[in-house]
Order: sequence, then C-alpha cells, then structure tokens
Amino acid sequence: MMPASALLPFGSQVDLTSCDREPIHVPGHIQPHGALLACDVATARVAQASANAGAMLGESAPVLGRGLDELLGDLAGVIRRAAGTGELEEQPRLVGAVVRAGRTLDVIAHTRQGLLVVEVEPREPGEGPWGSLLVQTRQAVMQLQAAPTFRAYCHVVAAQIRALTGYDRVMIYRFAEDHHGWVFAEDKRADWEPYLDLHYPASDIPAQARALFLLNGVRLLPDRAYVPVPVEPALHPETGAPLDMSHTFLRGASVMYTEYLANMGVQASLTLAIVREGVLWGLVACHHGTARHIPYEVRTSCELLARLVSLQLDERERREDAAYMARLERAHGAILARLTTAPDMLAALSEPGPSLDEVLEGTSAAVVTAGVVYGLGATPPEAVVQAAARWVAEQPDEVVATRQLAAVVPGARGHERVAAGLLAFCLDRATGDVVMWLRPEQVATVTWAGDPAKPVLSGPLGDRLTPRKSFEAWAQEVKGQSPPWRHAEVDAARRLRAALVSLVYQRNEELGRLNATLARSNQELDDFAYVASHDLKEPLRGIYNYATFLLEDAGPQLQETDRQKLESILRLARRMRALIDSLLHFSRVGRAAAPGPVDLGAVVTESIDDLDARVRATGAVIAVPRPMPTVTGDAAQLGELFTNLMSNAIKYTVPGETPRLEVGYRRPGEEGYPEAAGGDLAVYVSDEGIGIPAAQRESVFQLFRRLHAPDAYGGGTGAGLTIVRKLIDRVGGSVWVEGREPRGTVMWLRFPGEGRA
Amino acid sequence: MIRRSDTLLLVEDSPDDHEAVARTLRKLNFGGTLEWVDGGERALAFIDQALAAHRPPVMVMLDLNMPGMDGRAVLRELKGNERTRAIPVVIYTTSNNPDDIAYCYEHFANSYHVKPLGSDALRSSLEVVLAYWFEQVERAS
Repeated sequence: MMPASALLPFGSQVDLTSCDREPIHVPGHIQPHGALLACDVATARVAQASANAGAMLGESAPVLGRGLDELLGDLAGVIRRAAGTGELEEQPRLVGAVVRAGRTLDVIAHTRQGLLVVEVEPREPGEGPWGSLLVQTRQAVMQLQAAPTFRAYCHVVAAQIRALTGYDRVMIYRFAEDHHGWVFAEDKRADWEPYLDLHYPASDIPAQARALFLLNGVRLLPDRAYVPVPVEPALHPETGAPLDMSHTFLRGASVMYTEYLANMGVQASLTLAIVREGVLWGLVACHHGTARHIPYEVRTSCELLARLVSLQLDERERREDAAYMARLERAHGAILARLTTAPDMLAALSEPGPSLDEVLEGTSAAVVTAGVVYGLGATPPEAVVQAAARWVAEQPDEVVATRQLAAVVPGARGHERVAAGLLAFCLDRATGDVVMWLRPEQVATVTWAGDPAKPVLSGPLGDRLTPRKSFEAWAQEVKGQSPPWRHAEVDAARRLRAALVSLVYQRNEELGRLNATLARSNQELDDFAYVASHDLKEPLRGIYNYATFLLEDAGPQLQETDRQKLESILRLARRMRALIDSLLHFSRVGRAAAPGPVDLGAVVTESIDDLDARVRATGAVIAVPRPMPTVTGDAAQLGELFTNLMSNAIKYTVPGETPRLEVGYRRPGEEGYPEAAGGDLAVYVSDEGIGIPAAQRESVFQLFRRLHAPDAYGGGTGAGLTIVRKLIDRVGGSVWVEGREPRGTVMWLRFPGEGRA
Repeated sequence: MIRRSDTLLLVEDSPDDHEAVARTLRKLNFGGTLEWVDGGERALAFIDQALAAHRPPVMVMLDLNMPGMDGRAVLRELKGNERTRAIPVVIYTTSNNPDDIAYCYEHFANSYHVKPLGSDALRSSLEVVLAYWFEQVERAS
C-alpha cells in the first residue's frame, strides 16, 4: 500500500495529472446498491453510516449511535463473536442475511483499525440465468482442464464467467513487469469492438488502485451513473479519520474510472483480482452496456473462477516456460552437435535445424566474424549490425541485452521494425567476433488497432480516458522497445557463448599444436637441407680440384676432345656448386624473421639498387606508379623477395628488347583487383617479357625448375621463385602468376589482412 | 723471408682438401713446411709438442667441421690457453653461414676464409694468407 503521505488528502479534487495520487481508499461515499455501518468494535455502536442506511434497514430513526444488536438482531451476535476471534480482521465475510422492509439483505462484515464495518446488500432477483451455481461452476472447471495453452485457458475462464454473469464483455487483463497491462483473453458479444491485445500504460491502473485490488479482490459497479451516498459523519467522531473503505465492496468509484467506462459505452462493471504469490498478476474485467447488478453468490462463484486462474497460473506458466526452455535446450544441443562436425562456427550457426535465428522466438540473428556480417532472417542493414557488434564488443558483460538498441547505437534508429531489442555476446574482443539476436519493437507485434470507424466519446476529463488513447499512450511509452528478454533466453545466450568459446579455444589449441608441429617439421627440413648441402660440397670440391689438377698437369699432353671432357667436368661441378648453394640459401631463407611494419616503397627502392648493375646493362625501365603501402613482415626477407621477382622480370625479356617492369598494388574494390586475392592487399610485379605459358604457371615455383636451357636468359638455378613462394608463405600470403596482354607476366603477391584501409 | 723451419699447420679432415692446399702451396713456392693433422685432438697434441720444442707453428689453418673434436673446440682451446693464444688461427672452412663467422670471431679467430671452388681462387686466397701471416707479420715480430 502506498504511504499515505504520497496520496492526496481526503476530499481533494483529482484530475488526469494526479490520478495516481487519488486517495481512492477513502472516497467518503458508497455506491447506492447497499448500505454501510461502521461501528466501534468494543461497543458495537454505529459511529459512521452511509446516508441510506436507515432507509435500507427499514429504520425510521437515524442509526448513528445505535447498537448493532438493535439493528441486526441475532446476526449481530454472530458478527461480534466472529470479530472477537479476529477472523474478520481485513477479511470481509458473508455472515448471514436479514429481512428488512420486505427484502432479504446479505450481510457482509469485516474489522479494520478498530472498526467493525458491516455492509448490507439486497438480494435482487436481477437478470438470470443463475441456474445451479454449483453445477455451472463445476462445468466451468472441467472445461478449464481441457485447455491446451495458458492463453486458451484464460479464454475459457473469460467465457465461463460471462456465461455465469451474462456480462456483455469479460476480459482477462495481464500486467507486465513494468505494470503496463494488456487484454490477454476476451469473451464478448459479437457486435462489440474487440479489445483483445489492447495494451494500456501502467498509469491507467495506478499503483494505489492495484494495491487496493490485493486487499479486496472483488469490485462491483452496478451502475456507473450512480448517485453517491455519503458516509456520515465523514470523519470518525473520536479519531477524526476518514473511513478506510479498502475492504468494503460498496466503496465509491473514482471519477477517472467511471468516466473511462462512459467513454467506452460501458454502464456496469465487475472486476476480480488475479493474484499470484502476493502480487497482482492481472484482473478479470467484466463490462456491460446497461446497468447490471450481480448478487453476492454469483460474485463469489466468479471469484472462485478467478482464483482458479491464479492457481493454474503458476503451473501453466511454468509448463509453458518449461516447454520454451526445453525447446531452447534442444536447439542448444542441436547446434552444439553441429559445432563439432561443421567446418567452422559460422556454418554450424547458420545451418537449419534450427539455425541461430530459430532458436529464440520472434528473432532474426546475425554473426559478425572477421569483419563480415552474416545475417539470418530479417536483419537490418549491414552497417547497423556492424555498429551494434562494435557496441557489444565494448561492453564489459559476457552477455548483453537491451530492449532499445537505438538508445545505445544511434545507427539503429529508424530500424525498430526489425531491430529494437538486442541480445548478444562477444566471442573475442580482439577480433570483434559477435553473435546477436534481434527483436522487433513491441508495437510491431501487437495486433490491436481499435476500430477506426468508431467515434470517440469523451467526458469532461477529455479523450485521454479512452481505449484508443490508452493504446496510443502505451505505444508511445514502449516506442522503439522490444518485449523484455526472458531469463531463459539470456541463459540460453550465455550457454551458447560458453560452448562457442570453449570450441574456439579447443580449435585454437589444436591449431597451435599443428603450427608447432609444422614449425618443427620446417625446422627439420631446413636443418636437413643445410647439412645435406654442406656435406655435398666437400666431394664436389674434390672432384673440381682433381679435374683442375689433371687439366693443369696433363693438359698439354691431352687430345683436344679429352681436354674438353675435363672442361665439362669442371663446368658441371660449378653448376652443382651453384645448385647446392641455392639449396643452402633456400633452407636458410625465412629464418629468424623479425616482423614489423615495412614500407614496401623503401624495399622496392633498395631492390632496384641491388639490381643496379643489371638495370644499367639492360637499360631496364622500372615504373612504380604510386607510393607503395606498408605491410607487416621482415624487411630483409621482403627485399630478397622483390629482388628475385624484379631480377626475373629483367632476365626473361625478349632478346634485344628493353625490359619494362612495373611494381604496384591493388586494394579490394579498385579496378584491376584480382579476385584471387580474396579481400587482401594484392601487390604485383609485372613485365612485358617472354611470359610464362598458362600450363607452367604452377610448376615455375618448383625448386630448380627452369623453363629454359640452363644458360638461357641469364642462367640461374631456378630457385628464385621457390624462395619467393617460401617467403610469402611465411607471412601467411600467397603468390601466383598471371599472363599479360599482349605479352608478359604479372606476378601477384597477396599480403594477408592488409586489404582494408 | 720464409724459412724451412716456418710451419703452417693445416687442421683438415679431408685428404682431398689437404692435397689441394699442398699442391697450391707448391705452386706458390711456399718456402716453409706444411704440416697436416686430420683431427682436433691431433692438432692440439701437435701444437703441444711443437711448443715443447720451442717451435710453435707460425700459423694454423683450421677447418671447422671435423668428426670428433671439431674446429670450434680447437679454436676455443687454443685461444683460451695462455701458451697458445698468440698463435694466429685462420679458419678455413666451407661454411659461409653468418652464425659460424660470428662465432669464430667472437672466439678470437684471427681470420676467416671460405674455401673456394677452383684452384685459381684457392691460389689467390692462400697468397693473401701467406703474405700477411708469414711475411708481414714475421717481419714485424
């Protein structure tokens, strides 16, 4: 109950701005379909009474100050005994009936704050069909059991209560965590506008009203245009306090309420509380187009049905929650199973059965990895997803959830139809890999729009007190917000993240092991090559030397042909030495790399310098059209790489022609960018020389492979391109050959991760 | 002036390489004596004896890669010992590995030559070595 100080004082005028402070528990008047007596518990004498009490009890004399025994006879004794045991404390009970002025009056009593409050209500024949209440209630209960879903169940409750009471419309309201409400189930007469799915803001049923429903769960308004019957005296003669009518059923209604009813064309209402674990979960709201009184018995049956909703609530919601959680669990399991077999995480998440966007209800999903967006379902534009992913990666929490993405990611503004809510996690802050689910804004999924043709009635307090305005007000409040993310869903996200992280970790470990093995193998290979070339040189030296000595010592005496044979031996030995040196060099190349940022412009300049002699000898023209970019690598190794490529370009020229070279690069999106570079930086060395036939463009990379005679085109061991490939492989890139029109070669180098500006 | 008693100790496990050096020295009219041992232990033993006879070698040409005690160990021994430290050690090896070159200089090798292929290259290389260590240095001491 709100502290009294927060509410306006007794008797204040209330308007739209202050309706949440209206002191509705002390209205000072009652509805006229009954009468009220407030007695001192001790004396059982009437201290305050409604102005119609005397008439209703058939008393000609005023009732104030008279004893309860006098007014109610034997029943008074029953009441006093019940009060004495405390069982009436804040618990109104039907204690019996009396006949007065030719009518049977139901008597309901409770005690509160030292006062014994007795209400009497005439039993009206009224409109039926009451039938046998017990039978009807029993039938209602049986129908309820059969309902398949909780919502269907609530529909049945509404229908049963309507059948029991004959109201034109019975609704079941439900409150959300933020206390806004909506019509969850409805049974109505055919010609009335449906209110199903109507949402209204929390302020429509303000806090003190909701609190009062917890105290008194049955609220009858037989005629909203009732003439209020004041309680006299308004203040208790001894305490000076206004009568607290929290537990009375005759309590007068708020003008806010009655005017709202009028605007809806409703004359009578009955409202029952649905309570779950001491919290107001919802209301059964019955409306009628004309005045309607429901006797106590029938109200009690309805109250019973409302309580049945409360009782079933827990179980049903839990079951439906559990069903949802079981589905989440199964989805989690399915995805996990795929993760272990799919080639990569992305494939595992986007394959159907279910795919990521089918795991949570009403969501689209996206995975951002290596800077690329993979959307599943109806996702917003890539730029929005990227922005959201960046935001997620910056958050400290493992799993991030928001109902209003646009509040934290300005780029999401305008996309609330698909992405108002976000539930996401970051897999790796370093790479910015993010997995996310997106939900549309709440208003996008709510179907009530009201009947546009219906004219809007409004009373003195204006049209704010109308369903349409309520809906608008609610829509305004939740504008741009998705429904809240459920615990089960956040949990599911957390678990998926853990599974992915663990898997990625495992894969990285495996990769690390593989890399270590590879490194070891490479090392062993290099060691082998080194030792082998070393050991090979020795006998070679011997061969060369002895052939030389032979030539020197016996040369003059030898035949010309024999001397030439010796010369051949020498020549072959020299060649072998060159090959071994190449092998040795190849084995050592790439070792002890010290990677850092390397300006390729400087590297190319230095390589051109190294080749100076050959450049001058051939008059080669080397063009570098634009400044070269900076990459990550070892400067010395990159220098060797470019020297090899440019040396080749100069060597393999048509004899007599001037070698023409060009060294440059292409970034993704630029004209002439080779698709084979897959988004990375592509550097090229091109020439207009003799070219490499398409069939040989792979084999040129083999060790010692030359496409020409050993001495043609400046000779060489054929290790140059092998070394180039080894060097570029070491930085995680690649090299390949393309032909050039009309003639020539383009050597492409792919440098990983350098493509994006 | 190189005398007959001036010794050049060649530490080399390959008889072919020894043959090549011997032949080249003959061609250069080397006036001193070429002594040859084919292993590290033998080299140290020889030097010990020579010292005892007050006739240490004028220069040691040391191969690096030999079975058993290799050239690096011999270098460390010679340069680590007061008695032998002053003897010039010229590394004469097939290896052009920068690591080896650095290692030898760090351990106080006096010079490092890579064995060339071809008698001409061998000849010029030895010419230089002899000219420096036998004639210039000799004259200086």
